[in-house]
Amino acid sequence: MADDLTVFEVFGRERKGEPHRHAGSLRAADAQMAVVLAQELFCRRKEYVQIWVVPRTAIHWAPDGDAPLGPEPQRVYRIGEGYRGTVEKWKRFGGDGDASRG
Amino acid sequence: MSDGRLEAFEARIARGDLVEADDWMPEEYRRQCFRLIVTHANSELMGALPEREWIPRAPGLKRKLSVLSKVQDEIGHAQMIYRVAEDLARPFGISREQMLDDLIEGKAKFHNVFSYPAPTWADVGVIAWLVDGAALETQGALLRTSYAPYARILRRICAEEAIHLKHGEDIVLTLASGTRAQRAMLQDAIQRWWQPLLHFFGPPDELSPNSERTFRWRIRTRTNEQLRQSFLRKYAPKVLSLGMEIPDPELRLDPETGDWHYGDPDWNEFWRVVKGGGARTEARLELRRMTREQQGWVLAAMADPTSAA
Ligand SMILES: [Fe+2]
Ligand SMILES: [Fe+2]
Repeated sequence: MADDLTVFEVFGRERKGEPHRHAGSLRAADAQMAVVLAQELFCRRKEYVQIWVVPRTAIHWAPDGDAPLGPEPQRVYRIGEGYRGTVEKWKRFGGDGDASRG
Repeated sequence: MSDGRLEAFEARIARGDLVEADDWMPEEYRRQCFRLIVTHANSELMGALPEREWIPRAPGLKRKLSVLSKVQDEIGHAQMIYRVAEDLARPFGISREQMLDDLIEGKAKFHNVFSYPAPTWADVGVIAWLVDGAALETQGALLRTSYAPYARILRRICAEEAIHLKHGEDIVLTLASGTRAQRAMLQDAIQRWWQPLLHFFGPPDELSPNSERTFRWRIRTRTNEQLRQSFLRKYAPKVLSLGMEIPDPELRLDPETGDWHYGDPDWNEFWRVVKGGGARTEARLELRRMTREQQGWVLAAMADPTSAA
């Protein structure tokens, strides 16, 4: 009987406009039942304005390891650090070099 | 057998890294985590029972609703923790049904405190204040466990336990500021629960290879004695400040270390209780058995909603 149950991951949106965050997981016969149970388990204190249930088998992931995913750190052209020189460059035009003023 | 995986795992843990359910882990790590987590799940489930007995008898609607909601929380905690235990136990071929079977057959452990009777309303207050307070010490320390799925679910659980503690504190403070009879009832409950509370944290950890690994792998981060002392520091002064007596003539604060010295809490009694010999162990397990049988049809209907006639 319990072998027929599906594991669902539960995600909740805490406030309007915020992304859903993982809340936990549960077992249920189908998505409809999972929504009911998710409210029982995770919404007793008005924690969320919305919840999603997702069958765990629907989640796929990239192979992970110790380091964050993404390009090697020397590929700085993808992050703000790669453009630090702008402060100096602005000075040529009389800028005060405040990097935040891009 | 060394293929470097164990060494890499240990290096990860040493760096403060956390372990996720799908990561490779040594079988011994998995086994230790599972044992700790399933015992916690069993304790949440069994822990709801002494208070459940008080739902029909709670003094007044407000208190009844508080006890009802606490019992609901504890069952919810059990559900969430069994879910974490299930993922860990899958490679061992152990299902949640197996865990529940083991529990009602008396093959699994749960916390000693849930084997004692709760004869008065003051017991309900003392349980919610001090037993939940003790649980919060243990669970608060486990927020830093290396097994991340457990740590994550504990954040939610600890927040709810903190509310249980408030509810218990409120009952205790009401009784403590009540009539002579109410204060006497509170004193009696403290008398009954003090020793089980010292037992709650378990005997001082022995220096075995097993426990050495538990701490090295950061499955647990604080020893039983550290947790007990942390509990005593917080709660012994509070109990005394209510003008209540603590039933331990040897209890005293060491002003140098800040530790509390306590008398021999009779570890034989602890072992007797955790091995199933507690005053209410059998009766409460019987209640679990009965509930499981009588409510089996609800589970069956939920597992196959289309078949429900
Ligand atoms: Fe709990
Ligand atoms: Fe609790």
